[in-house]
Amino acid sequence: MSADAPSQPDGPKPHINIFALPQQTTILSIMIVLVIFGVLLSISAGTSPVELWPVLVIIAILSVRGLVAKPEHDFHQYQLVPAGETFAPLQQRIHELCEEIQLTPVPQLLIAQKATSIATSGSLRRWYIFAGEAYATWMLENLQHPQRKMQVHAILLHELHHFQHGDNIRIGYVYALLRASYRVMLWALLFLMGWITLLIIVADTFLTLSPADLVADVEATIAAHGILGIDLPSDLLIAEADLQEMQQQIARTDYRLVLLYAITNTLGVFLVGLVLIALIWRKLLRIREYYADARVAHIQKTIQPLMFAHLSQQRSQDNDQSAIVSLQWLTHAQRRVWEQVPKPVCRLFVSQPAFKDRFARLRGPATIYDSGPRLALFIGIYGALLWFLLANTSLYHISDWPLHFLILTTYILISLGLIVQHVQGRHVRHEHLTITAITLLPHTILLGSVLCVLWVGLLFAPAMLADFLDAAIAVTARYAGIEQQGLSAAAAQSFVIEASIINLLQIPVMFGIIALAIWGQSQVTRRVLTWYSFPQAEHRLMRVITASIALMALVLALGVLPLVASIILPSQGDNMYSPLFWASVGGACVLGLAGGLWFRQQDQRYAQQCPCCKTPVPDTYAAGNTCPTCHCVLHPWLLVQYDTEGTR
Amino acid sequence: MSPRIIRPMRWLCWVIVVLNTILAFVLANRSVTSADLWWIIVLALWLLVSSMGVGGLLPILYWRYTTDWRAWLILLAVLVGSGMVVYQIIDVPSSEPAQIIALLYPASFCMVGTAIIVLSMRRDVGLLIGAVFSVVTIWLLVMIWLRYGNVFELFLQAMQPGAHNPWLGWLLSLYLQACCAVPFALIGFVGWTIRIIRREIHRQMPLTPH
Ligand SMILES: [Zn+2]
Ligand SMILES: [Zn+2]
Repeated sequence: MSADAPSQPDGPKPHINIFALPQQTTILSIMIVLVIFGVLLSISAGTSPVELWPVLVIIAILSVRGLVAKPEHDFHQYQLVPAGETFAPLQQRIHELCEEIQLTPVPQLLIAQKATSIATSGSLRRWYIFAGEAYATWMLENLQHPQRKMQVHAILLHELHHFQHGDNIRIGYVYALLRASYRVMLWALLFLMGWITLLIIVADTFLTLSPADLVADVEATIAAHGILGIDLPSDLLIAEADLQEMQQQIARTDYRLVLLYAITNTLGVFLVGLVLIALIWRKLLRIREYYADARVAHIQKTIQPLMFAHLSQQRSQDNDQSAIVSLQWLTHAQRRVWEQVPKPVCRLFVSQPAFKDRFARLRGPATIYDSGPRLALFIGIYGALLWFLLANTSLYHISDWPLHFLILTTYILISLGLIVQHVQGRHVRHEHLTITAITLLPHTILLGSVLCVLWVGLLFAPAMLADFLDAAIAVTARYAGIEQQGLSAAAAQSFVIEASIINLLQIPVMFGIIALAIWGQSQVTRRVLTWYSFPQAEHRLMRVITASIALMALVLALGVLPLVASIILPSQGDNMYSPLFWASVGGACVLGLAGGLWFRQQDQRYAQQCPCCKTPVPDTYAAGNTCPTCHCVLHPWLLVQYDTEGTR
Repeated sequence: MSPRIIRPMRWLCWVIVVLNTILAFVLANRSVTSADLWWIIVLALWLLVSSMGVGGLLPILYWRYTTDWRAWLILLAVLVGSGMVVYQIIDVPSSEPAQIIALLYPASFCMVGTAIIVLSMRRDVGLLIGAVFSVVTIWLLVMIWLRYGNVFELFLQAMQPGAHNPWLGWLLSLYLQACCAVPFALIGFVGWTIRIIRREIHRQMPLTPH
């Protein structure tokens, strides 16, 4: 029974084929990688008092190195040894399954001396599956058993599909990147704090330094003590003119602001790393399991063996607290601490989903994707926190940046997340307004509290506020204390008023643009889903949808957002007179027009037409719809059949 | 080593660390005449030797990394670093004994710090930290030099007799330690990385634990 025959009335219930939709793991991985490198680029570009670009280079190298060294890491952590001759039949079965699913190279089976369950470890070219000795023995014993054989296959297929889906590379890289970035940044933070504090201490003495006096002083002391002396190399000393220039520069530099600059920028990246771990990383780990499970169900056409295997695994984990084994990012010492933590708290950090969650995802694969409001809240928190960490270390950001950043991220992520709703035929009629409102809620709350603090400062301590804004401007403006001009209290007042008006004005504008873009994209997606006779739809239709999202994002970024920004933001008003501005707006118009024309042409040709009998199909698409004339299933590739009954 | 000895030895090491810290602080804040120089030197030697011993013993007592060549490499770097500190004390003459202490106390401190690095050394992590530490030290030094001028002069200036500043000595010695660890850490780190990349290309399995 294959996926193209779901019309059999007595067959198992068809499910949504999640592999036909944009992969959640890819989206989440890209979210993490883009944010980290985006932040690192933004702190290392331009002039700054502290060169932070080496940190970017170090993190880039260390993350790739971490990915390549993953087997080394796991071999040490789980004490892995090659599975001997005893387990040769198991390795042979892995070989056969790999041939079945066309996976090369074949992962090697290892025995873990410090893990009880089964897991994968791999870099770009070296792939391993490792299991605890008892677990591997259980698999070996049941390899010939008539019923339990399928359970062993299910387990092995699950692990093999982690490689098939590229989890070892994609998620492995994200893991290495998160590790490298938060460690290096925490270190850089402490290190820079120490060094710049030293500069603060010595800056004053350095101002009065005279090389000639220094040499004389040191020589005098040497002579006085008669200890084995040093000859000061004369090339160490700088020319008088250079020295004076240097001393002037030092006099102009406020090292406290340099320190503030270094702290905010390194701490920012560190916090971004923590936010990403808390928000996305665990979700990513769970979702990759659901995908691997789904693939096993697609192959075995039933979820029964897999669920039995997971159930027995969970039981054994409940007995011996080894659920902690899945806490892969902890060292042994850290894990020993975790073992003291009460179990319910422990569960929060466990990356392996619980049995009942796996079961629910297999019965309703669409639940792997968040529902509309949940998705909106997730993306809203993600966007707002990043905006706060990146732009708002300063409060000076009244330019177009938050506008562009929030609108584009929200639009792309929400549109991708909603595809599954359209495939299911859910009418997202007014939901796009709710979704947009929820997305903007965290941002609005954050912005509101920031502005409140500003106003409290303005009313009760205007002088302190001016100082504070001064520092904030210095930090963002990347002058960090070099050639600083103080901000007067009156300027601070007008700044607060301007920032309040412009930032608050942005909220309804953002709401309008996001809601409109999501609504428009929903219409496009739903319409594209009715292109039943589109050639090679199983490969090309999702690409059309993702390309339309990309096109819309491009039109927003090049045309709509600059235009809106230059109308509502005074700082952007001058853009109106630049040819580059109009070239980009014109380009956006051309892109949008070309995309629209192509869409209309394809739509007239393929929309609402049955591929089998070529008669019109009037309705919008919903998963499982059939042609009213010939009863042929429309978009059979969006569905997959497997048995979910008989379990439990 | 039997477990019965290990526990008291660990305690002894930590007691020495605490005692050295207190000793260094007390001495650094006392005004001593040059006539007392001899016992200052005795105490300085005690600080140096004991902290070196503690720095080397602690990781072994806790993790028994004795067979790991990288642990020895780091210890070697520590020894060379301490040597540099001693050299610095002899070479930069000063009538302020507090400055000698200020230079020696960080030696013991660094020893413990490096010991912690070794302690956290799961395979290459210790070296990794060492390498990053060293690279950034050099980079920062160059950066400060280019932007703000000659760093060594800043130090020399601050170390002049009269310009008494123990904190500066503390930071200076920290910096020296880091600099000394550079070649060792880098050699180890690069060598280790090359080995991993070679394994990756030839699809070789990592060494299995014994
Ligand atoms: Zn898995
Ligand atoms: Zn038909």
